[in-house]
Amino acid sequence: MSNTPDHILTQKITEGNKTAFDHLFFKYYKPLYRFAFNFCHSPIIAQESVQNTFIKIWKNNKALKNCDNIGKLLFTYTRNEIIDEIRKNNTRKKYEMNVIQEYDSEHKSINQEKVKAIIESAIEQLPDQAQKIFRMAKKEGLTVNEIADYLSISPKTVENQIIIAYKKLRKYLEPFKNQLIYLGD
Amino acid sequence: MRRKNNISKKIPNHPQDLNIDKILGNHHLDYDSIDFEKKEADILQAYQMINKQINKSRNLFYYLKNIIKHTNLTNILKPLYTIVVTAVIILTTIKLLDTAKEPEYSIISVDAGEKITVHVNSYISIWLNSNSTVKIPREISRRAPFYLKGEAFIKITESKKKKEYSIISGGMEFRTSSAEFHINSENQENELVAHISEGKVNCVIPFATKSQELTIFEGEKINFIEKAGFLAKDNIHTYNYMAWKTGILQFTNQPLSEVMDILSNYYDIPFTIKNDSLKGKHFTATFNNPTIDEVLNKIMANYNCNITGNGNKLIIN
Repeated sequence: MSNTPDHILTQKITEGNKTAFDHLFFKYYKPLYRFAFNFCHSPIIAQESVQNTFIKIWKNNKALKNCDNIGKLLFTYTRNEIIDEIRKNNTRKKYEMNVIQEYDSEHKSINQEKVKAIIESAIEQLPDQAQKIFRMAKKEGLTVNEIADYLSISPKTVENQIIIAYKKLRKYLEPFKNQLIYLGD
Repeated sequence: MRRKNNISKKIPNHPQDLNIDKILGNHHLDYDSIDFEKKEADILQAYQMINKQINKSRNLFYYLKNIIKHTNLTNILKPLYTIVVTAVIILTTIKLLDTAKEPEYSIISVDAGEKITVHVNSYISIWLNSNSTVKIPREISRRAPFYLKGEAFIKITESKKKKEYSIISGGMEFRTSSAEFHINSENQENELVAHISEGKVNCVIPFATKSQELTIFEGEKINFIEKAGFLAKDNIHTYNYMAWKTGILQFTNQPLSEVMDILSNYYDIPFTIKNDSLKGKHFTATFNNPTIDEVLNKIMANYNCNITGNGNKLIIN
Protein backbone atom coordinates (compact mmCIF):
# COMPACT_ATOMS: atom_id res chain seq x y z
CA MET A 1 0.00 0.00 0.00
CA SER A 2 2.99 2.27 0.44
CA ASN A 3 2.88 3.30 -3.20
CA THR A 4 -0.86 3.60 -3.42
CA PRO A 5 -1.73 6.68 -5.45
CA ASP A 6 -3.14 9.60 -3.52
CA HIS A 7 -6.57 9.49 -5.07
CA ILE A 8 -7.10 5.91 -3.90
CA LEU A 9 -5.92 6.81 -0.41
CA THR A 10 -8.30 9.76 -0.46
CA GLN A 11 -11.19 7.58 -1.44
CA LYS A 12 -10.46 5.09 1.32
CA ILE A 13 -10.09 7.84 3.90
CA THR A 14 -13.47 9.16 2.84
CA GLU A 15 -14.87 5.74 3.66
CA GLY A 16 -13.24 5.94 7.10
CA ASN A 17 -10.28 3.65 6.45
CA LYS A 18 -7.75 4.39 9.22
CA THR A 19 -4.93 2.41 7.51
CA ALA A 20 -5.22 4.61 4.46
CA PHE A 21 -5.06 7.62 6.73
CA ASP A 22 -1.92 6.22 8.38
CA HIS A 23 -0.31 5.80 4.98
CA LEU A 24 -1.15 9.34 4.09
CA PHE A 25 0.31 10.45 7.40
CA PHE A 26 3.61 8.63 6.95
CA LYS A 27 3.89 9.75 3.38
CA TYR A 28 3.28 13.44 3.95
CA TYR A 29 4.37 14.09 7.52
CA LYS A 30 8.00 14.92 6.77
CA PRO A 31 7.41 17.20 3.77
CA LEU A 32 4.65 18.96 5.68
CA TYR A 33 6.82 19.39 8.75
CA ARG A 34 9.57 20.75 6.55
CA PHE A 35 7.10 23.08 4.87
CA ALA A 36 5.79 24.27 8.20
CA PHE A 37 9.25 24.73 9.62
CA ASN A 38 10.33 26.80 6.63
CA PHE A 39 7.43 29.13 7.43
CA CYS A 40 7.70 29.51 11.16
CA HIS A 41 11.21 28.28 12.08
CA SER A 42 9.78 26.81 15.26
CA PRO A 43 9.76 23.04 15.75
CA ILE A 44 6.84 23.28 18.20
CA ILE A 45 4.58 25.32 15.97
CA ALA A 46 5.54 23.23 12.95
CA GLN A 47 4.72 19.99 14.73
CA GLU A 48 1.47 21.28 16.12
CA SER A 49 0.20 22.72 12.86
CA VAL A 50 0.95 19.52 10.95
CA GLN A 51 -0.79 17.48 13.62
CA ASN A 52 -3.82 19.73 13.52
CA THR A 53 -3.90 19.43 9.76
CA PHE A 54 -4.08 15.66 9.90
CA ILE A 55 -6.67 15.69 12.65
CA LYS A 56 -8.76 18.09 10.60
CA ILE A 57 -8.47 15.82 7.56
CA TRP A 58 -9.56 12.79 9.57
CA LYS A 59 -12.43 14.51 11.32
CA ASN A 60 -13.78 15.94 8.09
CA ASN A 61 -13.02 12.87 6.05
CA LYS A 62 -16.44 13.04 4.40
CA ALA A 63 -15.52 16.40 2.94
CA LEU A 64 -12.68 14.84 0.98
CA LYS A 65 -15.14 13.28 -1.42
CA ASN A 66 -14.64 15.94 -4.06
CA CYS A 67 -10.96 16.48 -3.41
CA ASP A 68 -8.77 15.42 -6.33
CA ASN A 69 -5.47 16.62 -4.92
CA ILE A 70 -5.12 15.76 -1.28
CA GLY A 71 -1.45 16.75 -1.28
CA LYS A 72 -2.26 20.30 -2.21
CA LEU A 73 -5.01 20.34 0.38
CA LEU A 74 -2.62 19.15 3.07
CA PHE A 75 -0.12 21.87 2.32
CA THR A 76 -2.81 24.54 2.21
CA TYR A 77 -4.32 23.37 5.50
CA THR A 78 -0.89 23.33 7.11
CA ARG A 79 -0.14 26.85 6.00
CA ASN A 80 -3.45 28.05 7.45
CA GLU A 81 -2.79 26.15 10.65
CA ILE A 82 0.61 27.82 11.02
CA ILE A 83 -0.91 31.24 10.60
CA ASP A 84 -3.62 30.38 13.12
CA GLU A 85 -1.10 28.91 15.49
CA ILE A 86 1.12 31.98 15.30
CA ARG A 87 -1.83 34.30 15.79
CA LYS A 88 -2.84 32.37 18.87
CA ASN A 89 0.60 32.89 20.27
CA ASN A 90 0.72 36.52 21.22
CA THR A 91 4.37 36.48 22.11
CA ARG A 92 5.16 35.63 18.55
CA LYS A 93 3.02 38.37 17.14
CA LYS A 94 6.00 40.13 15.69
CA TYR A 95 6.96 36.98 13.93
CA GLU A 96 3.63 36.55 12.29
CA MET A 97 4.13 39.84 10.49
CA ASN A 98 7.46 38.61 9.19
CA VAL A 99 5.93 35.44 7.84
CA ILE A 100 3.16 37.22 6.04
CA GLN A 101 5.38 39.94 4.69
CA GLU A 102 7.96 37.50 3.50
CA TYR A 103 5.29 35.47 1.85
CA ASP A 104 3.83 38.46 0.11
CA SER A 105 7.03 40.20 -0.91
CA GLU A 106 8.79 37.24 -2.44
CA HIS A 107 5.70 36.05 -4.27
CA LYS A 108 6.71 32.54 -3.50
CA SER A 109 3.65 30.57 -4.27
CA ILE A 110 2.44 27.93 -1.89
CA ASN A 111 3.23 25.58 -4.76
CA GLN A 112 6.90 26.53 -4.76
CA GLU A 113 7.14 26.16 -1.00
CA LYS A 114 5.47 22.79 -1.29
CA VAL A 115 7.95 21.56 -3.93
CA LYS A 116 10.85 22.90 -1.89
CA ALA A 117 9.64 21.08 1.21
CA ILE A 118 9.17 17.80 -0.63
CA ILE A 119 12.62 18.00 -2.19
CA GLU A 120 14.23 18.92 1.10
CA SER A 121 12.59 16.02 2.87
CA ALA A 122 13.78 13.72 0.08
CA ILE A 123 17.36 14.98 0.33
CA GLU A 124 17.13 14.41 4.06
CA GLN A 125 16.64 10.72 3.43
CA LEU A 126 19.79 10.30 1.35
CA PRO A 127 22.64 8.31 2.87
CA ASP A 128 25.04 10.66 4.63
CA GLN A 129 27.92 10.28 2.18
CA ALA A 130 25.72 10.72 -0.87
CA GLN A 131 23.97 13.69 0.71
CA LYS A 132 27.26 15.37 1.55
CA ILE A 133 28.66 14.93 -1.94
CA PHE A 134 25.40 15.97 -3.56
CA ARG A 135 25.37 19.14 -1.49
CA MET A 136 28.95 19.96 -2.39
CA ALA A 137 28.27 19.42 -6.05
CA LYS A 138 24.98 21.23 -6.24
CA LYS A 139 24.77 23.81 -3.54
CA GLU A 140 28.43 24.74 -3.21
CA GLY A 141 29.11 24.29 -6.92
CA LEU A 142 32.31 22.24 -6.57
CA THR A 143 33.56 20.07 -9.42
CA VAL A 144 33.94 16.32 -9.11
CA ASN A 145 37.73 16.62 -8.81
CA GLU A 146 37.50 19.29 -6.12
CA ILE A 147 35.18 17.12 -4.07
CA ALA A 148 37.45 14.10 -4.58
CA ASP A 149 40.45 16.10 -3.40
CA TYR A 150 38.61 17.48 -0.43
CA LEU A 151 37.30 14.14 0.75
CA SER A 152 40.41 12.19 -0.27
CA ILE A 153 38.45 9.75 -2.41
CA SER A 154 38.62 8.93 -6.08
CA PRO A 155 36.67 11.06 -8.60
CA LYS A 156 34.95 7.91 -9.75
CA THR A 157 33.46 7.38 -6.28
CA VAL A 158 32.22 10.93 -6.28
CA GLU A 159 30.52 10.43 -9.63
CA ASN A 160 29.00 7.18 -8.42
CA GLN A 161 27.69 8.83 -5.29
CA ILE A 162 26.09 11.62 -7.31
CA ILE A 163 24.41 9.06 -9.57
CA ILE A 164 23.18 7.19 -6.49
CA ALA A 165 21.84 10.46 -5.10
CA TYR A 166 19.91 11.15 -8.30
CA LYS A 167 18.53 7.63 -8.42
CA LYS A 168 17.47 7.65 -4.82
CA LEU A 169 15.95 11.09 -5.11
CA ARG A 170 13.91 9.96 -8.08
CA LYS A 171 12.69 7.03 -6.04
CA TYR A 172 11.85 9.22 -3.06
CA LEU A 173 10.10 11.76 -5.23
CA GLU A 174 8.14 9.20 -7.21
CA PRO A 175 5.21 9.04 -4.75
CA PHE A 176 4.91 12.82 -4.88
CA LYS A 177 4.97 13.17 -8.62
CA ASN A 178 1.45 14.54 -8.57
CA GLN A 179 2.69 17.40 -6.46
CA LEU A 180 5.93 17.96 -8.32
CA ILE A 181 4.94 18.11 -11.93
CA TYR A 182 4.55 21.70 -12.88
CA LEU A 183 1.05 22.07 -14.23
CA GLY A 184 1.15 25.79 -14.59
CA ASP A 185 -1.38 26.57 -11.87
CA MET B 1 -12.48 5.34 -13.70
CA ARG B 2 -13.13 8.84 -14.83
CA ARG B 3 -10.96 10.30 -12.15
CA LYS B 4 -8.08 8.03 -13.05
CA ASN B 5 -8.29 9.08 -16.66
CA ASN B 6 -8.28 12.69 -15.64
CA ILE B 7 -5.17 12.37 -13.58
CA SER B 8 -3.23 10.35 -16.09
CA LYS B 9 -4.05 12.96 -18.66
CA LYS B 10 -2.70 15.70 -16.44
CA ILE B 11 0.63 14.06 -15.79
CA PRO B 12 3.02 13.90 -18.73
CA ASN B 13 4.41 10.43 -18.88
CA HIS B 14 8.12 11.26 -18.95
CA PRO B 15 10.16 9.68 -16.20
CA GLN B 16 12.86 12.32 -16.80
CA ASP B 17 10.47 14.83 -15.39
CA LEU B 18 11.17 13.43 -11.96
CA ASN B 19 14.75 14.55 -12.37
CA ILE B 20 15.37 16.82 -9.42
CA ASP B 21 17.16 19.44 -11.52
CA LYS B 22 14.22 19.68 -13.87
CA ILE B 23 11.70 19.89 -11.06
CA LEU B 24 13.60 22.74 -9.52
CA GLY B 25 13.88 24.48 -12.86
CA ASN B 26 10.20 24.05 -13.60
CA HIS B 27 9.30 25.69 -10.33
CA HIS B 28 11.86 28.47 -10.68
CA LEU B 29 13.80 27.18 -7.71
CA ASP B 30 17.52 26.54 -7.41
CA TYR B 31 19.83 24.68 -5.09
CA ASP B 32 20.65 27.88 -3.26
CA SER B 33 17.17 28.02 -1.86
CA ILE B 34 17.22 24.38 -0.84
CA ASP B 35 18.09 23.67 2.77
CA PHE B 36 20.24 20.56 3.07
CA GLU B 37 20.14 20.54 6.84
CA LYS B 38 18.30 17.70 8.49
CA LYS B 39 15.30 18.77 10.46
CA GLU B 40 14.59 16.26 13.15
CA ALA B 41 10.94 15.51 12.88
CA ASP B 42 9.83 12.87 15.36
CA ILE B 43 7.31 11.21 13.14
CA LEU B 44 6.50 8.37 15.55
CA GLN B 45 5.79 10.71 18.40
CA ALA B 46 3.60 12.77 16.13
CA TYR B 47 1.80 9.64 15.03
CA GLN B 48 1.08 8.61 18.60
CA MET B 49 -0.17 12.07 19.47
CA ILE B 50 -2.51 12.12 16.52
CA ASN B 51 -3.91 8.71 17.36
CA LYS B 52 -4.51 9.84 20.92
CA GLN B 53 -6.33 12.93 19.72
CA ILE B 54 -8.36 11.04 17.18
CA ASN B 55 -9.43 8.41 19.69
CA LYS B 56 -10.31 11.03 22.27
CA SER B 57 -12.47 12.93 19.88
CA ARG B 58 -13.77 9.75 18.37
CA ASN B 59 -15.22 8.52 21.64
CA LEU B 60 -17.18 11.64 22.41
CA PHE B 61 -17.63 12.94 18.96
CA TYR B 62 -18.77 9.74 17.34
CA TYR B 63 -21.01 8.89 20.23
CA LEU B 64 -22.83 12.19 19.91
CA LYS B 65 -22.77 12.01 16.16
CA ASN B 66 -24.38 8.59 16.22
CA ILE B 67 -27.05 9.70 18.62
CA ILE B 68 -27.88 12.63 16.41
CA LYS B 69 -27.78 10.49 13.33
CA HIS B 70 -30.07 7.81 14.69
CA THR B 71 -32.65 10.04 16.27
CA ASN B 72 -34.77 12.13 14.03
CA LEU B 73 -34.33 15.39 15.82
CA THR B 74 -36.67 17.44 13.70
CA ASN B 75 -39.58 15.32 14.89
CA ILE B 76 -38.76 16.13 18.48
CA LEU B 77 -37.55 19.64 18.02
CA LYS B 78 -40.38 20.99 15.93
CA PRO B 79 -43.19 20.58 18.48
CA LEU B 80 -40.79 21.54 21.27
CA TYR B 81 -39.86 24.67 19.42
CA THR B 82 -43.48 25.62 18.81
CA ILE B 83 -44.37 24.96 22.43
CA VAL B 84 -41.54 27.12 23.68
CA VAL B 85 -42.33 29.94 21.28
CA THR B 86 -46.05 29.98 22.09
CA ALA B 87 -45.31 29.82 25.80
CA VAL B 88 -42.97 32.79 25.52
CA ILE B 89 -45.53 34.77 23.53
CA ILE B 90 -48.33 33.98 25.98
CA LEU B 91 -46.21 34.84 28.99
CA THR B 92 -45.06 38.13 27.54
CA THR B 93 -48.60 39.16 26.60
CA ILE B 94 -49.83 38.25 30.07
CA LYS B 95 -47.02 40.23 31.58
CA LEU B 96 -47.68 43.18 29.30
CA LEU B 97 -51.41 43.11 29.99
CA ASP B 98 -50.73 42.79 33.68
CA THR B 99 -48.45 45.81 33.84
CA ALA B 100 -50.67 47.76 31.47
CA LYS B 101 -53.68 47.12 33.68
CA GLU B 102 -53.82 50.18 35.87
CA PRO B 103 -55.40 49.60 39.23
CA GLU B 104 -58.81 51.19 39.42
CA TYR B 105 -59.31 54.10 41.76
CA SER B 106 -62.10 55.91 43.49
CA ILE B 107 -61.42 59.62 43.64
CA ILE B 108 -62.70 61.73 46.51
CA SER B 109 -62.34 65.49 46.34
CA VAL B 110 -63.23 67.95 49.08
CA ASP B 111 -64.23 71.51 48.25
CA ALA B 112 -63.09 74.61 50.08
CA GLY B 113 -64.51 74.96 53.57
CA GLU B 114 -65.59 71.35 53.86
CA LYS B 115 -64.19 68.32 55.61
CA ILE B 116 -64.86 64.67 55.01
CA THR B 117 -64.06 61.45 56.82
CA VAL B 118 -63.63 58.33 54.71
CA HIS B 119 -63.61 54.91 56.30
CA VAL B 120 -62.00 52.90 53.53
CA ASN B 121 -62.27 49.62 55.40
CA SER B 122 -62.13 48.55 59.00
CA TYR B 123 -58.41 49.28 59.13
CA ILE B 124 -58.06 52.54 57.26
CA SER B 125 -59.75 55.85 57.95
CA ILE B 126 -58.93 59.11 56.21
CA TRP B 127 -59.93 62.58 57.38
CA LEU B 128 -59.71 64.93 54.43
CA ASN B 129 -59.34 68.67 54.85
CA SER B 130 -60.75 71.18 52.41
CA ASN B 131 -59.27 71.49 48.91
CA SER B 132 -57.86 67.98 49.10
CA THR B 133 -58.17 64.95 46.90
CA VAL B 134 -57.52 61.32 47.66
CA LYS B 135 -57.38 58.44 45.20
CA ILE B 136 -58.28 55.15 46.81
CA PRO B 137 -57.54 51.91 44.97
CA ARG B 138 -60.52 49.59 44.56
CA GLU B 139 -58.34 46.64 45.38
CA ILE B 140 -55.96 47.57 48.12
CA SER B 141 -52.52 46.11 47.79
CA ARG B 142 -48.98 47.30 48.09
CA ARG B 143 -48.73 47.65 44.35
CA ALA B 144 -51.76 49.91 44.31
CA PRO B 145 -50.92 52.91 46.46
CA PHE B 146 -53.19 55.65 47.74
CA TYR B 147 -52.62 59.05 46.20
CA LEU B 148 -53.14 62.14 48.25
CA LYS B 149 -53.15 65.77 47.22
CA GLY B 150 -53.75 68.33 49.91
CA GLU B 151 -54.14 67.72 53.58
CA ALA B 152 -55.35 64.63 55.37
CA PHE B 153 -55.09 62.70 58.59
CA ILE B 154 -54.75 58.99 58.07
CA LYS B 155 -55.31 56.34 60.65
CA ILE B 156 -54.24 52.82 59.90
CA THR B 157 -54.75 50.09 62.46
CA GLU B 158 -52.75 46.95 62.14
CA SER B 159 -54.55 44.09 60.48
CA LYS B 160 -53.94 40.47 61.37
CA LYS B 161 -51.88 39.95 58.26
CA LYS B 162 -49.76 43.02 59.08
CA LYS B 163 -50.57 44.30 55.65
CA GLU B 164 -48.50 47.26 54.60
CA TYR B 165 -50.14 50.20 52.86
CA SER B 166 -48.57 52.73 50.61
CA ILE B 167 -49.54 56.39 50.30
CA ILE B 168 -47.99 58.63 47.68
CA SER B 169 -48.13 62.33 48.22
CA GLY B 170 -46.01 65.29 47.15
CA GLY B 171 -43.42 63.10 45.47
CA MET B 172 -42.84 60.86 48.46
CA GLU B 173 -44.08 57.41 49.26
CA PHE B 174 -45.16 56.55 52.78
CA ARG B 175 -45.37 52.94 53.84
CA THR B 176 -46.85 51.70 57.05
CA SER B 177 -48.83 48.89 58.52
CA SER B 178 -49.99 50.73 61.58
CA ALA B 179 -49.84 54.45 62.26
CA GLU B 180 -51.73 57.67 62.73
CA PHE B 181 -50.28 60.49 60.78
CA HIS B 182 -50.98 63.75 59.09
CA ILE B 183 -49.86 64.73 55.62
CA ASN B 184 -50.04 68.12 54.02
CA SER B 185 -48.70 68.16 50.52
CA GLU B 186 -49.73 71.67 49.56
CA ASN B 187 -48.89 74.25 52.14
CA GLN B 188 -47.74 77.77 51.35
CA GLU B 189 -44.08 76.89 50.80
CA ASN B 190 -44.85 74.13 48.31
CA GLU B 191 -43.56 71.79 50.89
CA LEU B 192 -44.73 68.41 52.02
CA VAL B 193 -45.15 68.08 55.75
CA ALA B 194 -45.98 64.87 57.54
CA HIS B 195 -46.53 64.50 61.27
CA ILE B 196 -46.66 61.15 62.96
CA SER B 197 -48.88 61.00 66.00
CA GLU B 198 -48.73 57.27 66.53
CA GLY B 199 -46.84 54.26 65.22
CA LYS B 200 -44.13 54.60 62.62
CA VAL B 201 -43.98 55.32 58.93
CA ASN B 202 -41.35 54.44 56.37
CA CYS B 203 -40.67 57.15 53.84
CA VAL B 204 -39.22 56.16 50.51
CA ILE B 205 -37.05 59.01 49.38
CA PRO B 206 -37.38 59.36 45.63
CA PHE B 207 -34.03 60.97 44.91
CA ALA B 208 -31.95 58.42 46.78
CA THR B 209 -30.04 56.12 44.46
CA LYS B 210 -31.32 52.90 45.91
CA SER B 211 -34.72 52.60 47.46
CA GLN B 212 -33.67 54.08 50.75
CA GLU B 213 -36.24 54.24 53.44
CA LEU B 214 -36.36 56.71 56.25
CA THR B 215 -38.38 55.71 59.26
CA ILE B 216 -40.24 58.38 61.17
CA PHE B 217 -41.54 57.57 64.59
CA GLU B 218 -44.25 58.89 66.82
CA GLY B 219 -43.78 62.56 67.71
CA GLU B 220 -41.63 63.29 64.70
CA LYS B 221 -42.30 65.21 61.55
CA ILE B 222 -40.75 65.38 58.16
CA ASN B 223 -40.46 68.27 55.75
CA PHE B 224 -39.77 67.58 52.13
CA ILE B 225 -39.46 69.78 49.05
CA GLU B 226 -39.28 67.62 45.99
CA LYS B 227 -38.00 70.24 43.56
CA ALA B 228 -35.23 71.37 45.87
CA GLY B 229 -34.35 67.88 47.03
CA PHE B 230 -34.75 69.14 50.58
CA LEU B 231 -35.53 66.76 53.41
CA ALA B 232 -35.64 67.39 57.13
CA LYS B 233 -36.75 65.37 60.10
CA ASP B 234 -37.65 67.04 63.36
CA ASN B 235 -39.66 66.63 66.53
CA ILE B 236 -43.20 67.95 66.64
CA HIS B 237 -43.48 71.23 68.56
CA THR B 238 -47.07 72.37 68.04
CA TYR B 239 -50.20 70.48 67.36
CA ASN B 240 -51.88 73.13 65.23
CA TYR B 241 -51.57 70.99 62.18
CA MET B 242 -54.39 68.99 63.70
CA ALA B 243 -56.59 71.99 64.40
CA TRP B 244 -58.77 71.45 61.36
CA LYS B 245 -59.63 68.02 62.70
CA THR B 246 -59.71 68.44 66.46
CA GLY B 247 -60.79 72.06 66.55
CA ILE B 248 -58.08 72.89 69.05
CA LEU B 249 -56.01 75.91 68.10
CA GLN B 250 -52.94 76.47 70.15
CA PHE B 251 -50.50 79.33 69.75
CA THR B 252 -47.38 79.47 71.82
CA ASN B 253 -45.42 82.67 71.35
CA GLN B 254 -45.89 82.70 67.59
CA PRO B 255 -45.51 85.80 65.40
CA LEU B 256 -48.83 87.33 64.53
CA SER B 257 -48.30 86.83 60.81
CA GLU B 258 -47.94 83.10 61.38
CA VAL B 259 -51.01 83.09 63.58
CA MET B 260 -52.97 84.82 60.87
CA ASP B 261 -51.73 82.30 58.31
CA ILE B 262 -53.09 79.50 60.41
CA LEU B 263 -56.36 81.30 60.99
CA SER B 264 -56.91 82.14 57.37
CA ASN B 265 -56.24 78.53 56.53
CA TYR B 266 -58.57 77.35 59.25
CA TYR B 267 -61.44 79.67 58.40
CA ASP B 268 -60.63 80.02 54.72
CA ILE B 269 -60.58 83.81 54.80
CA PRO B 270 -57.71 85.91 53.42
CA PHE B 271 -56.35 88.83 55.45
CA THR B 272 -53.85 91.66 55.35
CA ILE B 273 -51.91 93.19 58.20
CA LYS B 274 -51.74 96.92 57.55
CA ASN B 275 -50.08 97.92 60.80
CA ASP B 276 -46.40 97.02 60.42
CA SER B 277 -45.71 97.22 64.14
CA LEU B 278 -48.11 94.33 64.71
CA LYS B 279 -46.13 91.94 62.49
CA GLY B 280 -43.41 91.52 65.08
CA LYS B 281 -45.81 90.83 67.97
CA HIS B 282 -46.07 87.32 69.37
CA PHE B 283 -49.25 85.61 70.40
CA THR B 284 -50.01 82.90 72.94
CA ALA B 285 -53.46 81.40 73.41
CA THR B 286 -55.46 78.19 73.27
CA PHE B 287 -58.91 77.80 71.79
CA ASN B 288 -61.23 74.86 71.67
CA ASN B 289 -63.43 74.77 68.63
CA PRO B 290 -63.56 78.55 68.42
CA THR B 291 -65.61 80.71 66.12
CA ILE B 292 -63.66 83.29 64.17
CA ASP B 293 -65.06 86.11 66.28
CA GLU B 294 -63.75 84.53 69.48
CA VAL B 295 -60.22 84.41 68.11
CA LEU B 296 -60.30 87.85 66.53
CA ASN B 297 -61.71 89.39 69.68
CA LYS B 298 -58.93 87.87 71.69
CA ILE B 299 -56.31 89.24 69.31
CA MET B 300 -57.94 92.68 69.25
CA ALA B 301 -58.05 92.71 73.07
CA ASN B 302 -54.44 91.64 73.33
CA TYR B 303 -52.90 94.16 70.95
CA ASN B 304 -55.46 96.89 71.07
CA CYS B 305 -55.91 96.82 67.33
CA ASN B 306 -58.84 96.90 65.00
CA ILE B 307 -59.93 94.12 62.72
CA THR B 308 -62.52 94.81 60.07
CA GLY B 309 -63.96 92.68 57.37
CA ASN B 310 -64.86 94.01 53.93
CA GLY B 311 -66.93 91.01 52.89
CA ASN B 312 -64.20 88.64 51.66
CA LYS B 313 -61.08 89.89 53.39
CA LEU B 314 -59.90 90.74 56.89
CA ILE B 315 -57.98 93.95 57.41
CA ILE B 316 -55.98 94.40 60.60
CA ASN B 317 -55.11 97.96 61.62
